[in-house]
Amino acid sequence: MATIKSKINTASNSYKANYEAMKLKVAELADWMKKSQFQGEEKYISRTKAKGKLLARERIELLLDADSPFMELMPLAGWGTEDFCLGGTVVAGLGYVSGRLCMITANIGTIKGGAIDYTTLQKSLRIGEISMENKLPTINLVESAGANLPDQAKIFNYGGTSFREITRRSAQNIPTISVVFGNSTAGGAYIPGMSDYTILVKNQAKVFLAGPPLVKMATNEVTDDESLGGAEMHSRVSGVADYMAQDEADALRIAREIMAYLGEVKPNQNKYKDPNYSAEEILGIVTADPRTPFDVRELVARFTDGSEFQEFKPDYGNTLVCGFANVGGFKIGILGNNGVLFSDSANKGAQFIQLCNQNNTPLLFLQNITGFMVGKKYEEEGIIKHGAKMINAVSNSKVPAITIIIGASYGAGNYAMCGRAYKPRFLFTYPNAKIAVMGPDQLSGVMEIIAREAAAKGGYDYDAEQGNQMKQYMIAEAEKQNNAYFASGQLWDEGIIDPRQTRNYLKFCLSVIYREEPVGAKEFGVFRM
Amino acid sequence: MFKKILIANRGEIACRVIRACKEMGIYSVAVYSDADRNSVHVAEANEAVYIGGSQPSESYLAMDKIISAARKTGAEAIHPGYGFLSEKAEFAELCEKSGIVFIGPKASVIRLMGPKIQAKEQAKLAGVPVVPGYEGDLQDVGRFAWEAGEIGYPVLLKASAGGGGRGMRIVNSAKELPEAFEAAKREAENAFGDGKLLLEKYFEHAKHIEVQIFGDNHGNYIHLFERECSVQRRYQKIIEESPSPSLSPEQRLEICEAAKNLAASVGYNNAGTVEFLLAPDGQFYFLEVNTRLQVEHPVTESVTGLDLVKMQLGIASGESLDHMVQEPTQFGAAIECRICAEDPYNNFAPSTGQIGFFGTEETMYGARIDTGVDTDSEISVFYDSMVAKFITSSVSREEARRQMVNQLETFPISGIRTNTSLLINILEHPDFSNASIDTKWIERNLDSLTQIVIDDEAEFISACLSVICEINDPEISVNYDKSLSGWRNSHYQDQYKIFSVNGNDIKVQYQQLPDGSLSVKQGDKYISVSAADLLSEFTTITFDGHIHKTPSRIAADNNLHIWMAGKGAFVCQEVPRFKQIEQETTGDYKCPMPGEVVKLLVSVGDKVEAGQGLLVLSSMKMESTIEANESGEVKEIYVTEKQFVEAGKELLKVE
Repeated sequence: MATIKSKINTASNSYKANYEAMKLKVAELADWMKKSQFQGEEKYISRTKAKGKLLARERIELLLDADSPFMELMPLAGWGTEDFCLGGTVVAGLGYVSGRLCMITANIGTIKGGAIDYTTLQKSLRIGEISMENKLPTINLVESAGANLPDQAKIFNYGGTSFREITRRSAQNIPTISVVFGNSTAGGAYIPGMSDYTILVKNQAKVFLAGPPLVKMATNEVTDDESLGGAEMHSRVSGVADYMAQDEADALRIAREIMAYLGEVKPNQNKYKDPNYSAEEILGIVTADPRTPFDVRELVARFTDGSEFQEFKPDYGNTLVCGFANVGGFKIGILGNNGVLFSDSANKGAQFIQLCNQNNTPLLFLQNITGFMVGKKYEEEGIIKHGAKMINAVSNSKVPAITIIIGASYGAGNYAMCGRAYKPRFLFTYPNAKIAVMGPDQLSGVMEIIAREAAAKGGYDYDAEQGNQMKQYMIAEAEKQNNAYFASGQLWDEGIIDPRQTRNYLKFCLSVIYREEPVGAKEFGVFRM
Repeated sequence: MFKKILIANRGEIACRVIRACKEMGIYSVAVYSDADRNSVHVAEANEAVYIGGSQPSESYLAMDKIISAARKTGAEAIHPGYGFLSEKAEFAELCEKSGIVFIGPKASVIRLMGPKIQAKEQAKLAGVPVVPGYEGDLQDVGRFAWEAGEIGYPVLLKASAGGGGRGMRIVNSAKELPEAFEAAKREAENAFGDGKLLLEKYFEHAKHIEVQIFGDNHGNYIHLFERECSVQRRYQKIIEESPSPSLSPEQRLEICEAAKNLAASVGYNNAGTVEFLLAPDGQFYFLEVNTRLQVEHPVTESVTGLDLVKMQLGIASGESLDHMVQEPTQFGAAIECRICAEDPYNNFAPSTGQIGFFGTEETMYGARIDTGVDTDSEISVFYDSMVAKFITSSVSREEARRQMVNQLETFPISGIRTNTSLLINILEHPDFSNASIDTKWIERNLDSLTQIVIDDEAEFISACLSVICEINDPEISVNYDKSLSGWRNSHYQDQYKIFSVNGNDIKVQYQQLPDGSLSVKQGDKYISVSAADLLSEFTTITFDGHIHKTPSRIAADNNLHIWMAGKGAFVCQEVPRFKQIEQETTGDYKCPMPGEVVKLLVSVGDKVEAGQGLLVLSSMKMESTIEANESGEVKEIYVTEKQFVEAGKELLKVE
């Protein structure tokens, strides 16, 4: 296969300056990631530890196979919102348990008792979606007070989805195991309630529709936690529990044993070469300011096996780079932006997506797109219909897709390049990325033109001073909402990633995707565009 | 010279004789028991004959089986090695009757020198000084008490038929005598089938000197100088050397001539050893004659340049000593150490099982190793615990000593416990260099010689190597790309594994780096650890920049065996993260090691107190008592006396 020959000069000033700028961005990301690991105030943590209980993240680490990788999903959910904490009150991610790939979620019982706020719910819903799309068994490590009551209006209706999805997955032979470590009350009781397997930890699990105070209010019956919903009662009397664990470690051991009987282990024996160039150099290549262009091939050369890339139509529509490559021995079709999408590049993209469907190759979109080309000439040649072909191809593509926003993600370019609405299996964002309908300068500029036009039409003078203030305000507002953190906080992605880790994320995601042979859409032959 | 001989022995001595045969162009026939089916001596001989069960009485001591093996294979002669049938006059006689040459002295000589009492009489006749004592036929405790009083305490009780320390008891006062008499008698009966005891004056600080003698069938007698074997533990020699650093040239001449005279006086033919006790005042006394090749013969070979086994074969085939040896001389110094499968840190408990790792002869730079084991050899409970002998020699005793220490430190042996640390401690003790060690020195210094030194860092390094071996184990297949192993996009805590290293649980916390190395947490910092040539004799581990040579291997026990030069063997086993919660049972006594039930001390229905002996178990010739760990009543006994029991089998139940 053809190999990409890098043209990067790592000694150049522009490379070094960009490297430094990106280094700051990944350091900032590392800082936020660290903050996202917060599991509650010290007094709650020490109280929990004193009881011999594990923290949510410790439970995950113990549940996982030793040396299993773990890819945490949506760690920065809720960034910039008023919700409880960064990432919500649930830790979620993918890892291997008894050799089987699983979706793992763990309520953080040490933050607000693990109560579910809006962010947590939205994150959980997306987690359910990922499990369903990728047919992943789920292990829930439950310890939650249930819905956060002040938030109930925002979450009550959608909250039902969680329970519905557990059983819909079950109907598709995608099992869910719930391990209850503490509270799992009211609506929360349906998490173990709907699961295929439930494990309750002795003297810790409390699973009931209503706790003793509410029971007293409702029926005047006086009872206690343990007899109302303890592990003993549920294991021996109600049958809500399938297994009673002696302690937390025992519960995780049982979950691992159950997993060992679910699905089969297909060892990964892929053989491949590492890229010819260091991933560290990505920081000098991917521009810290998305307004500065860079050749996406230089990035590709740093994550594909042997830096190989079999480029499709290299001399046609060259603002969209398309081609085949392998990552970790898995075949992928890559589409990466090298500038604005023109009619020819959109057509090339549409044709390439069809080809990948024909030969069952998953897609990787590398978004660095300010949009489709605008202007009279382009409207005349029908850029809308050409763009529509590409959006059509993306929309009806059946092979799994992964999208990484490596720079700008503006306008319809976001759609054509498989943005969130086009349901890639996984979507990640680089910390330098910008996501919006258009750039802040364009946005404010457009607004200024409209204001001037309105002034002219209304017959009053355009106040340049006020207009400028307005413009600055709009730029600032747009900047606040177009950055990677805002996007990740809104759950528009699965997470912001360190660009140097791109290959690892891809290897991991492709091993998720390739658990089933990808099958593309076959309704038509490939249209030559 | 013979064309074909049979070696009626096993282990290192069988291999030693087979080697001599190969060098002399003699066809060798080995014999083997059940336990020895896969032993080295069987592999090295030209052919091998199965002779029965693992118990020596069923095989290596079964004279008829050995004779018929010799007949079947057409062997003209039998080399008995040492131990087993080597000093059995009956066997020598049987050989003679069967027309097979016994490679050793005539039966009549063995008969004369074998029983200690008779040998002592013979020595007296030859003018050799003997230890004051009582050798009478009256085997009665009263008589022994009276004689002991005459000689003066302390006295020594010995089995008349014995050797090797079994059946021996030191008695310090008249009060101790009756009990010691009974115990020694029982041990002698068990070990030799003959309970006859004798009494000797006991010297507190005596040294052990012995002289190698040879006689041929033509009336020639020579000595090949002395060996000193004062480094003993419970009468078992551990370190032997030649020449003795304790003798003046005059004493040497005197003692060697005395031995030669004794040999001549009885018409001794073939190899033998005359053992003497050297009292602190420089006076030597005759102890006994061993009518066979000794374990420690290699040190004599090293200083004389002779091959004693070849000489034995030559003499047995009728050659004259004159043709073999002209003027024997003693050159330089040689030291031998016996490597035994025993745990010096656990009261020298026998260590059985499979050897995980055993160095090769090439590993021994400039030294000699005589052994009958190899990597994967099984050390059974049935035979002696000695697995190898190391012999170093040089122009000076000091250099031979340093060489030996170095060999002991660098020669890989794992899977079984050995006494190498004890040997090193002895050799490094100033008393060894000063030659002030007597036969009781080890007992007096045992605590300091067997002080456990745990090398935390070496254990930690071994645990790190275990982690790397496991991560790189091609047998462990995982669903994910192994390059992702341990990968986190949000690092919360280190990966970890817990390994039991020589029984100590060690947790290794680490992060795998993309180049396959580990960043390992040690204290509050992270250090870089990588390894190369995993699971081979060339394994190295780079631990914080320090390269250690650590041959490693997954042994038959499925554990990782690591050898670190100067640090010894490390057996590493992963400790599972999750423990199956089991119901504890009490009152069940399981057999701690494979062995034979010698005596049941309780019966069903007996009430026992904590600490009370329940039964006596014999393993590798060592007896141990299983004691009650709590009071109760004996409910059931699952074994009978004389029964052979595997480790882990239930013995009895106390409630």
